[in-house]
Amino acid sequence: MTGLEAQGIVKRYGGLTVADRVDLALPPGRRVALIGPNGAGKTTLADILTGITAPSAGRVLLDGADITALDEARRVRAGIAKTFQITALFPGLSLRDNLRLALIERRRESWRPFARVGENPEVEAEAAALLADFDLTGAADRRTGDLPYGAQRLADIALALALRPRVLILDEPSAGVPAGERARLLDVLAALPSDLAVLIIEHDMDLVFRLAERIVVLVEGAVLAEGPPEAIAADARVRELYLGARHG
Amino acid sequence: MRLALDLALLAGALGLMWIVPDQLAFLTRVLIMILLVLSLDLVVGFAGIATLGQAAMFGSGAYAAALFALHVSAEPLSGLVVGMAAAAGVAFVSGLALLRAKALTLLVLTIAVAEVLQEVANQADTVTGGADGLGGYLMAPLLGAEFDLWGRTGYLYALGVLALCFAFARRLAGSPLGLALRGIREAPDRMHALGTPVYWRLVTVYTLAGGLAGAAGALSAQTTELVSPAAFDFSLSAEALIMLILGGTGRLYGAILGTVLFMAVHHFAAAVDPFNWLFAIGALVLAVVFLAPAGLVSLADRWVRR
Repeated sequence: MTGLEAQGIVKRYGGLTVADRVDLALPPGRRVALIGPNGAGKTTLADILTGITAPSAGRVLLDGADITALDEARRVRAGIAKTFQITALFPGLSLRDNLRLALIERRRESWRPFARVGENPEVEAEAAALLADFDLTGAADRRTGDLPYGAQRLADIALALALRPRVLILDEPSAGVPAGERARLLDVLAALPSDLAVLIIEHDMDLVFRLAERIVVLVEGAVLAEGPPEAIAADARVRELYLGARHG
Repeated sequence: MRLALDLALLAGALGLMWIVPDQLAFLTRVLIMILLVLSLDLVVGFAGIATLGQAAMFGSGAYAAALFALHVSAEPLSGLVVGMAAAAGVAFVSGLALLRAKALTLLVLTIAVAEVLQEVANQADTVTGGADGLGGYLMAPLLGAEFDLWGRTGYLYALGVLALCFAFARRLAGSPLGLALRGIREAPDRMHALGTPVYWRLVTVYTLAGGLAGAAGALSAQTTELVSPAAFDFSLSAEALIMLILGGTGRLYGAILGTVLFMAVHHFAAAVDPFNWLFAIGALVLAVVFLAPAGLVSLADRWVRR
């Protein structure tokens, strides 16, 4: 299979099992949402996919190749990018330098001690294009630590896209985004490249049901239900356990 | 603007040869110390590597240059290259182990590396001369210029090497590697998530900066024609760090400013009171930390912006 795939993922911390034989498929172009109550093991699963955490058992495959043993940075170079639950940028650097960091890294040029930052026309053009796409051109030369939170969240996504990933993992993209800036975030998420495989971990059910083609419900580390949004919304166990009255 | 500043600094340094011709030995020590602090700025200021062991590379460069002069050739430029290569080698090998660690663990390990090397220099007396150190070698002329009694050649030599190393450090600071290092200092986890081999970038800068520290050590060995285990001293690493903090980290010019101020205060305070000069240094550090926590360079920024 092409795309990202998790097979039989198990993760135990001592006697506690936080992932229990989880299977997950993320083919190119597919939008999959991972939902579940707090403590269901969503972030752990994401960390196993991105290589931050090693699973106790199971495999992670990218385009059919076993990448379970690769560390985080190698997986990023292989095409798996992620955004952070709590925005992680380089707060003391300008937004443009933040993007340059990602672009330089994608081009495998971050080891070069004699080239000059800002003098590579391709990097500069791509940074400018990303800034324009995200409507952040006006903020390009401000320190990202000084940007409003909504803009920081967008910048986080821009950084991930600068890596031109094949798989993008969004860890609660709407967390902390003020209501007034949500629409812009939704637009950005809806406009993600169509060939990109996207895994969205999210609590905001409106966002999930608007974007996802497939939903995986995780409860206590195990997949409780999986299917298209309509099926999940209609699933009695899911409604009882997680969605509660909101979609009932 | 920056070119004008550089030229002014260079002209000032040359002018000192006529203003205080009897102080060139001291001024050469200042230049060498600036180079060591500059190397430390690349490690601490840019990459955020916590270290109190930069003397490990200074001492390695010094001993390598001295041994080279004793046993191979007294030609200074090749000795300088040998010193730099030896120090870069020590930085690379120790960095491979050190840079897996972080924060306090890293700090303690950097101290340990310098202490181990110092002990080796102390014990291996058939090679290193033990506690007495190495001496008795005379440097051959530098590009035809004899190392004279007044230290003019040594001073110009140190100034030339420092200028080249400063140009290199500035080039590095504005390079993709320099940006990646600032990214690592700001948010190492985010750098992992950009696919950066963080560890190897740290090893790279530690090695390059180690080479610069080695150049400082080699200059010291060549201009004084003497090396002792003190080249590995903890106090050397610590004073270099204080000088850098005084001047301001991550700015390169901070290395110049902090070192000049520290060594000038040391020089004059020690002349007034040879036993209590540390009080003057302590007061200076306190004043800077409270009044200009980002170092003296930050005051210059304010002045320029006005």
